[in-house]
Amino acid sequence: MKRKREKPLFKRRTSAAFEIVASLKSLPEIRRAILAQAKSLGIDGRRIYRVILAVEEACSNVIRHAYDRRTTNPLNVMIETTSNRVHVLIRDVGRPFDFNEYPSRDMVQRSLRARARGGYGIHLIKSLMDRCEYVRSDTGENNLSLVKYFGKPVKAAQGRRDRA
Amino acid sequence: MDFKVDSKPADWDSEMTIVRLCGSVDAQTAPAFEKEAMGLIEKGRRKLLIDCEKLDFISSAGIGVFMVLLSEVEGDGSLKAMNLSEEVYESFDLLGVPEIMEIYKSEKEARKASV
Repeated sequence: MKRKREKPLFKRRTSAAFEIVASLKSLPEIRRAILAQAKSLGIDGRRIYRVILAVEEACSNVIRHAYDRRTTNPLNVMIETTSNRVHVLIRDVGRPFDFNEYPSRDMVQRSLRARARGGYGIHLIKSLMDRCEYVRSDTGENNLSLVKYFGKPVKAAQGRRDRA
Repeated sequence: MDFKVDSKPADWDSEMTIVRLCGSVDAQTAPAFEKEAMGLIEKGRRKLLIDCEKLDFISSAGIGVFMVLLSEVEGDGSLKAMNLSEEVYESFDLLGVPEIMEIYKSEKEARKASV
């Protein structure tokens, strides 16, 4: 009788959760944490670069807009990486921001002057990640969940509406 | 890698200035890049070629600086870039930058195109 090949009980997985100072100076620390996890699982640099860029944009938005650069508020980042997926959860208690309602910009159609004013962060996050979900909790937390798959591509930015 | 920016005149075009970016250009470091490049423009150096060979990361804040510089030199100057890694090029591409700015694979290519 042919013996059925057993599936491994556990996928290779690493995770980390940390609270960082909500300052632009913390951005390299976030980049290093994601890169270190990916390297430990053999995920190549180009694939993880997209995740790093999306998370950077999200954290930068929290620091500059949700917190107006006040560094006393908490910014929590949870990263869970398996060999075929990275899931990042970013949590803050700043001003609500409805990520889902923010329109994707048609960059090519924008004038040079309009482009110089910026506002590309959300567009990049939605373009780079497979799943984006924003939830404003009843207790006043912004929760942004970002997922990137490395196996079969699943390209759909999804999201639930603000529950606040 | 720590962020550094410096500049030097191109040895093949006396009006062209090469601005070399090194490390990461993010929301924290983008103002230093903008200050260096705007300083050159204010001194009349309005033809800039940004060398990204040692640029290992750029966020939208850094790409925004390219947009500001493009609008500054529009008309009587130029802003071009060269030596972008695949990752950095992809970020530019997602924002439609190659549609409005000349990007070269190498300095040799940039030099050839300017003749």
